[in-house]
Order: sequence, then C-alpha cells, then structure tokens
Amino acid sequence: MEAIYQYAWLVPVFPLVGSLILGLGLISFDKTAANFRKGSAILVISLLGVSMVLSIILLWTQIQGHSSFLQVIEWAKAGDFRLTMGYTIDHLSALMLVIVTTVALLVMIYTDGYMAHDPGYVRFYAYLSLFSSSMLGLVISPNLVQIYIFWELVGMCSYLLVGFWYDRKAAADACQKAFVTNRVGDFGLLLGILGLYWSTGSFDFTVIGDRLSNLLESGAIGTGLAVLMGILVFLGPMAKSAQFPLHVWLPDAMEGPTPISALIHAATMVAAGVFLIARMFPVFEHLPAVTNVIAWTGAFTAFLGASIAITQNDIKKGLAYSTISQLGYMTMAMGVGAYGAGLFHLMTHAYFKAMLFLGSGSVIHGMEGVVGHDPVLAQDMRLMGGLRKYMPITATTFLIGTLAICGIPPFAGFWSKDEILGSAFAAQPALWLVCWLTAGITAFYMFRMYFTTFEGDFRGNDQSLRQFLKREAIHGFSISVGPGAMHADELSLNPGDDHAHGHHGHPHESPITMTLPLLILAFPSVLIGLVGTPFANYFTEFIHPPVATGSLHLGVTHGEEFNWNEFLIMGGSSVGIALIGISLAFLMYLSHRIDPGAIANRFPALYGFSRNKWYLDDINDRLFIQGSRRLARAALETDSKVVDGVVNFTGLITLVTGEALKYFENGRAQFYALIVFGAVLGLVVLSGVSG
Amino acid sequence: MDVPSLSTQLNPLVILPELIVLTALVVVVVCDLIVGRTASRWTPYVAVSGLLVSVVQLGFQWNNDHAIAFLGGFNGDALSIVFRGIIALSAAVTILISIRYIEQSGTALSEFISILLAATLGGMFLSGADELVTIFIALETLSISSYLLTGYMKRDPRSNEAALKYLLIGASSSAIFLYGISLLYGLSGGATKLVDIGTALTLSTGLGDPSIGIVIALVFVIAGVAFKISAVPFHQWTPDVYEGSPTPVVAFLSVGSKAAGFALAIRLLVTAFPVVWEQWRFVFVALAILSMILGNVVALAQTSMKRLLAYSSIGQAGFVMLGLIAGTEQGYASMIFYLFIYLFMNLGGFTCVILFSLRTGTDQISEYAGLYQKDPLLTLGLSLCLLSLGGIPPMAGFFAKLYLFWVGWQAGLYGLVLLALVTSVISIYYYIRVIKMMVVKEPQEMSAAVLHYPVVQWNLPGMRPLQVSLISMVLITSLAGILSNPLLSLANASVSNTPLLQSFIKASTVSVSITDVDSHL
Repeated sequence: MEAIYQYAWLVPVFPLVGSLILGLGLISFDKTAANFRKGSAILVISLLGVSMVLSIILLWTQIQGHSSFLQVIEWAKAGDFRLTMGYTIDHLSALMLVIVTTVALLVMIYTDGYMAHDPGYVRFYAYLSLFSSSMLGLVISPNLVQIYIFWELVGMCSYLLVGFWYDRKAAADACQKAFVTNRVGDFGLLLGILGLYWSTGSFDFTVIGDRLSNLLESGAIGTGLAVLMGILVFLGPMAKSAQFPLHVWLPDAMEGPTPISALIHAATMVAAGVFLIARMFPVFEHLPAVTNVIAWTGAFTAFLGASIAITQNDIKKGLAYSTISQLGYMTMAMGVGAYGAGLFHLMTHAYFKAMLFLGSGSVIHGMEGVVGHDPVLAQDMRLMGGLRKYMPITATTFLIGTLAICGIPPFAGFWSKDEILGSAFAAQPALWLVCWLTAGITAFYMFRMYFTTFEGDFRGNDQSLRQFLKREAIHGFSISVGPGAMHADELSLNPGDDHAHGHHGHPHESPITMTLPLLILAFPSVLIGLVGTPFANYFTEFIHPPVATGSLHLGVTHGEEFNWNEFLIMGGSSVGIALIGISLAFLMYLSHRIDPGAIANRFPALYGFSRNKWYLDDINDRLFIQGSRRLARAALETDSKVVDGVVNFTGLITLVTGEALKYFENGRAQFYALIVFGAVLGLVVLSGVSG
Repeated sequence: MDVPSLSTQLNPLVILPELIVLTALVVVVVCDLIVGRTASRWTPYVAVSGLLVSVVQLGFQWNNDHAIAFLGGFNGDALSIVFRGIIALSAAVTILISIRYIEQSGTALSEFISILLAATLGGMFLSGADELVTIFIALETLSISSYLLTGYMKRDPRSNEAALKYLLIGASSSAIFLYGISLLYGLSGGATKLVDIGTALTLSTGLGDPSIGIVIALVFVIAGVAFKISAVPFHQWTPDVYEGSPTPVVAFLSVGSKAAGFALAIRLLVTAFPVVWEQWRFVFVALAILSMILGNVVALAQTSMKRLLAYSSIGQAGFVMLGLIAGTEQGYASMIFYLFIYLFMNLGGFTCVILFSLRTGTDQISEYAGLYQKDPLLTLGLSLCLLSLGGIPPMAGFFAKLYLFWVGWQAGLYGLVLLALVTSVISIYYYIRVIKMMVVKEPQEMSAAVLHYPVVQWNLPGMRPLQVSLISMVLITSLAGILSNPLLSLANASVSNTPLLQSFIKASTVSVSITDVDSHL
C-alpha cells in the first residue's frame, strides 16, 4: 500500500496529460484534432477514470486507518527562505479526491451527449480535463502557496469555461464579472497569506496555527491584526464560494455550458472555499472574531440566496441561487466550528446539486428541441411544464434531488442539513433561526421549480408567451414597460420568424449518455447521507479537525451521547418547515389555489426586492463600476496632464543628455582612452579621499 | 625533486577541462589543414562536444580537495569551476549560433572556431588564475582572441573599425592593469601569488590606514577588470564594438568574456585586497551606480538592436555588481545565479537577433515591426528572452533579479537596491518597446524587411543548430525561474565550497562587527 501513496501525485497528473494532449493537438492540428471527437472524449474520460480508481483506493486505505502521508520536495531555497512543494494525503484530501473525481467523471460522460452538436467539443474536453487536474491539485496541496497556485488555476479554468461561448455577449460579460469579482477575493487571500507568512514565517497550516497562538499569547502581535489577516484570508473563500457580498458572479456564470455549472459552479470549485476554510481551521480556531464573521456571513448568504431564488424564472439561475444558499450553510457550519457537518454537507450537496444541474441541462436540452437554441426561451420555466410525460428519467431524478435539498428524510440532504442546524442551535440560536427559515424557503422554491417544470401542462408552444419573454429579456426585468419605451431590437421580434419552426412540437428525453449520469448520481443523493446519521456518525468519526480544538464549541461531533429526544425535536422542526414550504408551493403552482401573481402585486416592493436580487447588482454598479469609471477618468486626466508632463520632461532631459553624451561617444578611440585615464585618476583621488 | 612529487606539486589534472578544450582546438585546426574546406561541416560539432565534455569534466572535479595546481598558479576551487562552466557553455552556444552566420558571410568557419576556443581557454584560465603572471597571460589570451574575433569580418569596414578601437582601448586598459599589478609586486615585496600579496599587504598596513600606493594599485587593477565587464566609465568601447563585430562574437563578449571578468574581480579583490575592503567596495558602488543609470538610460534612445543589447548588458553588469558589493555569502551566490540565468536569456536573445539578421540582413529595431505575422516562433523566443532580461515574472530573469536585490537589501544597500529597482523599471520600457513593435503592429504597418520576409526554412545548412539553441535557451529562460532550485543550490554550494570566499566572508563580518562595537563605544 505504501507504493500507492508514493504515486498519489499521479492523480492530478493523469487529467493534466489528457488536457495537454488535446490542447497541443488543437494548437498544432486545429481541424484534424477538432474532428477527432469520440477519441478525445474516450481518452480524457479513461484518464480521469484511472485517477478515480486511484482516489478510491486512497480513500479506502484511509478509512482502514492508514496514517496520513506527506511528501514534499524543496522548490526554492535561498538562505533561510524555503519554499516546498508536494502533496499530502489525509482524510480530508482523500475524501475530496473521491468527490471531485466521481462528479467530474460523470459530468464528462454527460458532456458527450450535451455538447454533441457543439463545434467546440474537443476544446471543451481539454478545459474540463485541465480543470479536474487543477482541482485535484488543489485538494492535495500541503501548503498555502501551492493552494494559492491551484486556486488561481481553477479560477482560470472557470473563466475559460464560463466564457466558453465567447461569441455570446452575455457569456463574455459573465466571464469578465467572474474574473473581476474573484480578483477582489484573491487579492485579499494573497494579502492574508503574505501577512500570515510575515508574522509566523510559515506556509504550513498547522505550523501557522501553532505559531499564531503562541504569538497571540505572548502578545507579539495584536488580536486586531491577527483578525484582520484572518478576514483577508476569508475573502478568498468569500469570492470562490460565492458568499455575500462577493456572490454576484455565480448566477451570471450560468452562461457557461450546463455541465460546467454542475461540475465547477455547484459541486467542486465553489466548494474549494469551504475546503480552504477547513484547511485553515487550525488558524481560525484561535480567532473567535473571524469565525463569528464566517458564521454570520454564511447564515446571511444562505438566507439571501434562498430569498432571491423564490422569484427566479430561469431554471439555471434558480439553481445557482440555491447553490449560493447551500454554500452559505457550509460556510456557517465552518464558522460555528462544525467541521464535520460542513464537510458532510459539502459532500452530499456535491452529489445532489450536480444531479440537479445535470437534470436542468437535460431539460434545457429537451426544450431546445422545441424553442430553438435561445437561452432566453430554453431556460425559462414559464415555458416549461408537464415535462414529466416527455422526460420521465430526468423528472424522477430531479425529484430525488429536490427532496434531498429540501431535507426530507432519508434523502442525503436531510442528514447533513440537520447536523448543521443542530450545531448552529448549540452555538447561537439566532443562527439556527435564520437557517431554519431558510430551510423552509428552500423547500418552497425547489418545489416551485419542480412543479412549474415537470407538472401541469406544457406551455412551450405558446407563441404570445414567447414574445413576452423575448421582450422582457430585452427590457431587463422591469415588467411595466411604459408606452413609447421602444427598444431597438424590438422591431426584429417578428412573430413567425422563429427558430422553432423546424423543431418538434414537444420535448424529448435526452440520450443515454446524459441520463446515465443522472441515474448514477441518484444513488448517492438518496443513500450517502446514511454514513452520517446522528446515531451512527461514521462521517464525523472519519473527518474531524486536525488538532484537538480547545476554545470552540464543536456542536454535534464525536464523543457525545446521542440524544433521541433532541434529534426528534431538531429533525422534526426542520422537516416540518420544509413540509410547510412544499405545501405552499403545491397550493400556488400545482393546484393554483393561491395565485402567486396576486401576492406579488400585493407586495410589489418585496417582490421587486427579491426579483432584482436585493438590488445588489445595481448597488455594485453605482458604487464600484461608476465609481471606478470616475476614478479612471480622473486618473486619465492626471495621466495626460501630470504624468505625461513628467514623461515629456524626462524625454527632454534624455534628449539633452543624449546630445551631451554624444560628445563622449564620438567614435574617436583616443578620446575613449582619455576618459579611461581620467576615470582612473578620478577614482584614485576619490577613494584616496574617502579611505 | 623526483617526478612523482613534482607531479603532485604541479597537480596538472586540475586543468583537465582546459586540456580537453585545447585538444578540441588542435583537432579543429589540424583537421581543417588536412581535410580542407569540407571539414567545416563537422568541426563545429567537434568543438561543441569538446566544450561539453569539458563541462562534464568540471562537474567531476566538484569535490576535489587538491584544487591548487602549478605550485599555486592555478586554483581549481568550486568558484572557478562554476565560472569555467559558464564560459565553456557560452562558447558552446556561441559556436552553435555562429555556424550559419559565418558561412553566410563567406568567411572561414574553422579559423573562427579555433580563435573562439582560444578565447574560451583564456577565459577559463582567468577564472582560476591565482598568480599575477598567470592572470595577465590568461587575460591577454582572452583579449587578443577577442580582438581577432571582432575584426573577423575583414571585408566589412565596420568590423575593422571595431577591432581597431577595441585593440587600442584594450591595450591602454591592459597597460593600466599591468601597471597596477607591477605596483602590487613591488608593494608586497616580490610576491606574485595572490595569497602572499594579500598577507604582505595586510602585514605592511597593520591597523593603520592603507598607503596611497595600495589604493593606486587597487584602482589600476579595477580599471582592467572594469574594462572587461564594461562598467561605466570604462565602457565606451562596448557600443561601437558590439555594433561592428559579427553578432555571435557579441554574444560571446557579452556573456563569456563578462563572466571571466567577474571571476577575476572576485578572486583578485577577495584574495589580494582584503585590507582595502572599504575602498574597493566604494569604487564598485560608484561603478555600479554609473553602469545602472547610464546603461539603462542610454539604451532608451537606441535604434539598433545590437546597440540596445550592448547598453542593456552594461546595465545588467551594474546589477551583478550589487552581489559583489554586498560581500556576503548570499551576495556571491546571487551573482553566480544571475550570471547563469543571464547566460541563457542573453544568448537566447542574441540567437533571435542573429536569426532575424540572417533572414532580413538588418538589425534596426524599427525593422522588427509586425514580425509576429511572419515568424511567430522567433517573436515568441525574442519576447520571452527580453521579458526575462527586463525581469518580468515568471521568467527566470525575474527570480535572478529578485534574489540579487533581496541580497542587496539584506546587506543594507538600500540606496543601491532602490536605484536598481528604478533602473530596471526603465529597462522594462525599452525591452517591451521591441516586443510591442513585433506584436502589436497591424499588418499594414509592417516594415519593409518583414514584408519581404523569406519563408521559414530550418533545413538549410547551419540552421538546425540555431533552432536547437533557440528552443533550448528559450525553454531554460522560461523554466529556470520556476524550477530554480538546482541552479540556486549550485550557486550556493559553489560559494560555501570555496575556502577563500569563506575565510574572506568570516574576516569581513568580524571586521564589520568590530567597527560596530567601536561605533557603539
């Protein structure tokens, strides 16, 4: 078994080789490589398959009690500055390896069906493989520098993939937004890393934690400074895991192809932030102020995401806000010290959310057959409905995912969410209240999504509704269009001039390569929660913080007596509110006893608030975008007046000196010799005087 | 004295690498004489393999305990091994990139190679020379071969002019240097070995101020060295010579010859002049400031690529002097590391310049406009090398500069490091200007030379070695920074394995701490 640990570094290398082969092929033989579709897919998938097998063996030996493994090489050394690179295999990284490889493998299989008609098929696989490699590299990184490198690499892959259809303006904008937002977070992370290195002289998590606690005890650095560094580090996860206020990029990132939304923006990369908080646990546990900030940011984000998801009509946007909300849960769990619970939810969420996204992709794929390749129409739930008849596999798996996310026992989401709620209650009841309410909202919007998509009658052929949606997309979200507010594109919205005419009248079930991953993902979505039931919590036994924690309250973790009474109250209350949410959704969207439109008209302010995403994009626009434009204009003024002046002045000086130096560089050898002798004389005099 | 003890005394195996190079030289000359012109098809490879075998042989001598050879005339310690390696490597690359250039100019290749090998021999001996006469002879071997190389294009008046100028200025600097070492001979009471001179000077000075004679000798010697490393104000020959000489020769002068100069500087100053440590530091501070400012500022105004690289090499030499001035163990290590990286990036840059001038016949920067459209590989290679020279991460040059500046900062040379930072920012401007010229221009803005750019053909005779050296130099330049540990540990080990540097560093830190104590009292 030692041998397999010696070669564990191959896990990220296999997908890297795949992406390199495809990438080099695309660069060198563009046309030929792009046509070599099936071969490329099989190559990449089988390479990742090898990585998956290796990861599963690693996880298995870890479960069997193999000690954790650390291998480092010296990367750069200069004096007392040492930088090491290597990999570490412990419980956490083994688990993450398995999550990433399994989800990535299924997504890759799914991609074959979803991207079948796309000209960028091979390029897509190359990016996917590169992403898998970077993500696997991230989870086995033993120190902060290496994490930061891979952190940027997964970010880069994310931008590449969000902007995969770069000829769509929305995709290009979304990719830019993701880039800029992440830059803010990553800059904070970099500052935090450098700050921690400055104060502790190490990039290693446990070493930083130990030295930081010593420094805090001895008073060598102030608590305020340490908290500042902790919060700076947290800015990284805040951007990557889409926490308020840096969450704005994630919904827009749904412009990328759906397999990407499932793999990167639901299951793996966005969880990297939570993973980093888990890795930084030894550091954060000495800084209660930071963990409080983390917990409250998480709870607030959970509520925010859920409240916006209620009013979303785009199926992928809705899922994106639900991802934000669920990531909020994980972050909050990390903040209250429920290390195991947070990672448990990360795992269950990775599987059921990947399945939900892939299901939505399947729906969109089916809808495109009816309404054409227009994301405005194909992704809008108002045009769907009754799809269960046409796509039974997708509908069933989507229902399973929905039940899982709503926290209905015995589906996976129940166990993890319940554990988080329990820990939150033990830490701060206020946090619990927020999350409990959020659980209800979650159940409501998820079933709203399910009912409008799969139940009722199919509305996809309603031409007037299509026109309405088109017009709404052009005008933005304001429904009440004043008279005379004619948009330039509106004239082109000629009824009848539609892509749909060549297509079928009803959607069809997706091909087997797309439904198979859905079916496979349904199993963990139902069952994986059973490894972490509160009465036999194997998960928390396996995943626990690296150092015995002192100051923090650990919530429901190892060593505590299981209390049926407490479990029934906690579980019952969360199931209860979920059921209330589901019933409300049923009444509104299936039996139409309550008219949601009437409620919206009754509280237009609240509706607009949610519909316009708490106006956060507008605030950002006013505050940062316009602000930085103004700043840029001011900078331009300064540049053209002051800097240019200085540059021109320098240029003048250079010219003058150049003219002057010409006399020294006149090409006459005797003059050069004179200067040499003169310089020698001058140096003798000078050093004689100075000595 | 019997034969075995004589051979232990002479210890001739220390110069085995030089003997290998010498053998290659003799083989090249003799075979060219016997076989005739056709020999030039394979003589370059004989020379290159001789140089590479010599580098390997240097590697075998790494842990040699009996490094002193020829009764103290030559020292084969780790420091000299590293510098000899740099010189031999630079000569090997120079030969690879010169084959096509020399053939296209219609001059004889074998003679060129034998002169270049002679220059290499001079440089290698200079790196290990530990005695005044050896130093001077090695220095003159290097110099005279360089004059010949500079004037090698005998039909080109510019080349002739460059050779004559180089000879005249070189002769005057040699005269000054010779005067300096003759003063040393006298002041030390007839010693020629550097160690003996160092001891004698220390004894004669005692605790008082050094006599003006020692200072004069020091400055004269430094003038000779500064001429070789083309430090301002002993640099005037550089632009003229670089512009006129064949480009491969410029590549060798800017790397190999300069490395030999630095090797001489370290050995001579550290061994013979510890007593005037303050003074030689002061002189080098002055040289470094002038070189960094003048080299980088004047480079801004250049229109010829070769002149640009000439001034940039003056500026780069100024950066390297930082390590020498720091005088710490790290300081010397950072110098060696920088010279290694400089070897790859500068030779890579010259390879590209040679390729361009072979294809278009010009060196003007404005003629590079729009090259990206016609020759992406050349553009990429030149851009990477120039970015590295400018110190842009993640190229190797960035790490080399970072190490150098960091060491300078640690040694308390705040002003110098700040100046180095500012001038390296200036240098980025003129390097990027070339890249911008190549990449950004629209197709209609292409220069005439690029418009009539020939189809890229690598199968012409002599092009393969150019291609090989281009790709390997660019690869090393891009990767050596990220994977810098082998080179870093080599540089560090060469300093920690060299006894003379160790004793000097110890002595100087002691003296510094004594002065600290004095100032506290």
